[in-house]
Amino acid sequence: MPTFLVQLFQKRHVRPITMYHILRGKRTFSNLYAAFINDLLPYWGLLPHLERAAYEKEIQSLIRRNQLVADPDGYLTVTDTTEIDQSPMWWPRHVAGLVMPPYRESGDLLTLAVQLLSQLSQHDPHFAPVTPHILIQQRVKQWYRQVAQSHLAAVTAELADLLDQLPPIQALVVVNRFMGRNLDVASWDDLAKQCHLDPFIVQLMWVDGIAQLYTLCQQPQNQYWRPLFPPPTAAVTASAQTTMQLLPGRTIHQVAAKRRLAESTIREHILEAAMLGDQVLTETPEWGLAPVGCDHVQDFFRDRLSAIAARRMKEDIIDE
Amino acid sequence: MNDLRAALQRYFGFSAFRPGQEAVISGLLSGKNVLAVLPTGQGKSLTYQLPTLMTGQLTIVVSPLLALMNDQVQHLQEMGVKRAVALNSMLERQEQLAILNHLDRWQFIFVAPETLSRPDVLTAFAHFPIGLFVVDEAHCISEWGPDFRPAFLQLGTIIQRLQPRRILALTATAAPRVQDDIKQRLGLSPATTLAIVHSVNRPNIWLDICPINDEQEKLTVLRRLLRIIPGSVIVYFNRKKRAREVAAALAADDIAVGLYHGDLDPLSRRSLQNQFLHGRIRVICATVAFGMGIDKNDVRAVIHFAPPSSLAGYLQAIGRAGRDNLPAAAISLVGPGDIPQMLADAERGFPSAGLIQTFFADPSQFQHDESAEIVLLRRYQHFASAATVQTLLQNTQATRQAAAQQMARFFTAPATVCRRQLIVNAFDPHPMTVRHDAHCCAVTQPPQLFGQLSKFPWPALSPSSAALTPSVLSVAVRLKKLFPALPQS
Ligand SMILES: [Zn+2]
Repeated sequence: MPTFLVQLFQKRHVRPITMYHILRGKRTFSNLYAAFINDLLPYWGLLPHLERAAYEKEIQSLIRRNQLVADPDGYLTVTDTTEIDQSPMWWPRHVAGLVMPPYRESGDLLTLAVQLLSQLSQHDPHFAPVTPHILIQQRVKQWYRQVAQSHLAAVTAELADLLDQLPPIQALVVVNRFMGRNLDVASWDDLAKQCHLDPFIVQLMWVDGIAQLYTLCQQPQNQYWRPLFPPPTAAVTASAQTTMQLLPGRTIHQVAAKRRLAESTIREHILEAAMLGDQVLTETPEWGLAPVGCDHVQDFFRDRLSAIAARRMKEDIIDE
Repeated sequence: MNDLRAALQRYFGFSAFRPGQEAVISGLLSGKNVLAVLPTGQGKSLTYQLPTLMTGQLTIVVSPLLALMNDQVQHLQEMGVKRAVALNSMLERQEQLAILNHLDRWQFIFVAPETLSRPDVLTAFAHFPIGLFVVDEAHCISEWGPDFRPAFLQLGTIIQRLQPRRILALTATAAPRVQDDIKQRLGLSPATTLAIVHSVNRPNIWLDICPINDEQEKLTVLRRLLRIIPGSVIVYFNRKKRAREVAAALAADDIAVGLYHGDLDPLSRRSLQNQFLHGRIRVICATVAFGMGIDKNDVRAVIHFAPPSSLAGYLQAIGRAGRDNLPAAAISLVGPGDIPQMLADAERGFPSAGLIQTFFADPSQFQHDESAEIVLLRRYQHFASAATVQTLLQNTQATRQAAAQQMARFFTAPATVCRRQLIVNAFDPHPMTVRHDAHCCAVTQPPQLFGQLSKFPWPALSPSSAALTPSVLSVAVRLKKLFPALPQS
């Protein structure tokens, strides 16, 4: 984990506690904003079970070893003297926590579905599901009855095809965490040894592999596995979407009154839509903001809005 | 009792009961409550599984450990009993509701005492007839040290509220005083309750205490022991860190070793247990969490690398050896610092009166405090006032220290004292006199120990099952193994 953390902090400007919340996926506006501005959104909710104590211990130890330095405002940066592998051997590139169901849930769904297929296709009705989660068990059972049962050969063929589209090492990790009749999971340690990697990185590879399979399953040709998973989630919350629908033709003050919310909440909704919505947003006179220099809270909102816009334009240029 | 045997055969495929099982089951079926003290390895869970399957009524099993609960559910499901579920904090709120709203769907509900004392959970259960209420590891009501969960104390009230038809209190080790505690706190009156107590003595397990000079020598001795002892071995530690170090050292010797502790994710835990069960892993380095709920008959030795915190804990641990009733060994490696450290551990982790007051005045100020004292207080937070908690904790601490001292005496008594007799005296209500000889127990220096074990009547190794395929496989091979019958693209 230490190397991974150093690489996360590199060229970024984040408080350690904010990074912790981002990795756990704790949704507050300021965590989202920090993640957006620092290009950390993909890693949103990457380590939902990360323990605070374990995380802080790693951070303290990295600071002691001078690999991370805290500036006077409490932000962590990577020291110039730190020798960092500029291009890490492996990095999660398919994760997108904000718009995907939790990885652990998707992983459990997939693992249980494979177990069910394996056991039932070998006529073994007595087995204990790998996950104790009732809703996951129900979802897999339903999927089996509605989709898989009558197309077993095609379903397994599609799985093989999906795995084929993963980088080989990730396919290896994902497939070795499947279990079935007379077949147990390989331990993280065994996988790590086999791949000559740290067990933590192997677990990240699994998460990234699950994310990749999830994305592949959304493509129309993969008809059998898609219904197993919940659909993608909207990045912008329903509440912020409601605000954005009300906003045209109204001031922020009017929308706040209509929704019985604080004006600050409405401003946060706008910023959220600006970060995560389809379009780049800029201020319009309709919003009824006080002139520049009159209200420092509103100016602060303006600053953030233009920072967000600038960031998104930069992204667009990179994308092209 | 032919009906019972027939049911045993039908549901479990066994032709005979283990000692005590039949008495417990017929007691329950005749409408009595039962307090059953059966030694570890005697199939305690069968005593509630069989009557539940026979009567078809709902059984609630209160269990102290999450891992244990899930293992029990897994075990039932592998037997084909699908209507078993664990209701605990691992489930989302939504999932808990799905269970509580349809209690008729379940036959076995395993539940943590904390979950069961929640008002919504209690209300759901109160409206549903409960055939059998099982308190597993019932000694936790009385002796639970710093892990003691006050929710156990609520079980008496909960039982009154739920009015189950019958109650079964199960434990492997309970001194007479603890048995009285269990009966009193669960409200088991003599008129309606049958106590079935079997001796804790396991005559096929040889007991040995081996004094060691230092930690380095311990590892050397362990390595040598693992060369002499054939078959599966569990090594117990009291620190995760040490367990990890020793496991790494053994792995470097090319011993098939696994590391087991409470923080493992469910899939890894299951994998490790299966590998041990099927002989792919020979040695498990474990903290105390390992062994609950797995039924491996042919463990040949249990080795304590560090002393357990009580004689009851020691008994639980060594009870995992020799369940096939063939010769097995329980060996304790005791270094000079071990006993003082164990006694110090028993003192540690209890908050002072001042801290208790401060915490109860405003718990929110300790929101991010993960120290042992605060973690402990958080468990008590919803159950009692500061003054009650202070008394409770003082009692718990005193019990825990007494237990540690009893453990210390077991290890430090003169070599001539029979250790088996000490155990029998501590736990059996009518202790028998043990016939002590070299096959009973011993205090030995390492060379003597090696000598004894070399001429020990080890049973022949059972052929290890090759049903499970080892470790990491290529994508194609693994898919073929998962779906052998289906054509692969
Ligand atoms: Zn003896």
